[in-house]
Amino acid sequence: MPSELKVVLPGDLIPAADENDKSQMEVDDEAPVVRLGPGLTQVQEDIVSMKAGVLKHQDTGNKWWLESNQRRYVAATGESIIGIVVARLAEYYRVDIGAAQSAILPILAFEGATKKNKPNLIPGTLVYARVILANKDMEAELQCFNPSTGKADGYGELKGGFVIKCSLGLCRRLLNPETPILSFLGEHFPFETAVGMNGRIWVNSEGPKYTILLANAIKNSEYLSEAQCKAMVDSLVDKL
Amino acid sequence: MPESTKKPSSKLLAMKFMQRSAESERREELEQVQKKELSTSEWRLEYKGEKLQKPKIRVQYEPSFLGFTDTTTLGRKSYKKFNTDLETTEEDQVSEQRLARETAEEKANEISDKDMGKRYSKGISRVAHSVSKDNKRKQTDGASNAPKRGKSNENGNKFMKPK
Repeated sequence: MPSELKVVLPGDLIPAADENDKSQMEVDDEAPVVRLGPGLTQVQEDIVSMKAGVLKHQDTGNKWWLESNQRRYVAATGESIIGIVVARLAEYYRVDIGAAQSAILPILAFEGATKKNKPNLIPGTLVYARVILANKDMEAELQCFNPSTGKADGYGELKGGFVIKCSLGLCRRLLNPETPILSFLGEHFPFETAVGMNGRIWVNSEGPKYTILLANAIKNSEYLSEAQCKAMVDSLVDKL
Repeated sequence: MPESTKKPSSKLLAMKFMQRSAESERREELEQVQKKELSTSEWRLEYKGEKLQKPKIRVQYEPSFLGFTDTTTLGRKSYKKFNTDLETTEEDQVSEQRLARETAEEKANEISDKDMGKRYSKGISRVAHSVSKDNKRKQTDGASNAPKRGKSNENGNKFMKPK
């Protein structure tokens, strides 16, 4: 479990290698595996940070990662993202996911899509998709259904609504069920959100005034505490 | 046999199959020469008593934050029944993901069979001395016990004549 707040800068040495369990080394003859998350890399026998952020550590699985914030998305396998269809080609759609390269979304990668019955998305359509293949040298590949069930499970075209851009850190926090802002807003009026880990948030509600309120509240919540969030939501709702 | 049979006629040599076989022979020879040249030109630097050092750390990269946080991967949410279909699937997914996460954590805490074997083998070598002593004691005990057990068994299984 994360113990204390430790801020690291790019180039700092991370003490991950020193804390290896000595007893385990005796048994294995091999050094235990260190799992490095985003922002950390191995340089010969040291582990070095590549970004500025807060160092986090988890004992189960010996995981080390940096909790950092940025605006440029780097695609990683398994993450849910919001993309904009840019072009339609014979076999796939080209989708802008906010990363350095666009991603490809095969036309058959939708719920129940067959060669005869496939969705027709025009350029500009929003899709909520999952990254199934991410490689720094290739375009990311997307998928719009849950492979274990074959159902959409919330993935697919996003109709209506509005997309706002925010930092990747805020998106990650919004996915955490302990983040209060969305549930505070959910107490007052019905709406729907889709949070992409690529820094895009889609909101849909019953009318423009609710959508505007949602967009403002979510954007403002980034640096607010729980109590401040509550106060902000209450004051915004009062003005409706 | 006359000697003239040894040498095929020029006409025969000009035939296609003869030419083909001659060519294959020539090719084989060439290959052998090439192999010889390669083997003589190949050499290896030899170090004295130097072993490859085992890496001090083994690293595995995980490019996504998903593995580090307790986030639910489904990012769609509906509030106050705006989208009822979504709210039902959401509940299922959240519970499923929680289960998957917990089982993964349990697995990480478990010791694999391989590790267990290694640990045991270490333990055995360490305790081997005392174990061998114990075994001797047990054997002597067993020798005195075994016949008794056998007898009691015989008694128990003895055929009893119905009256």
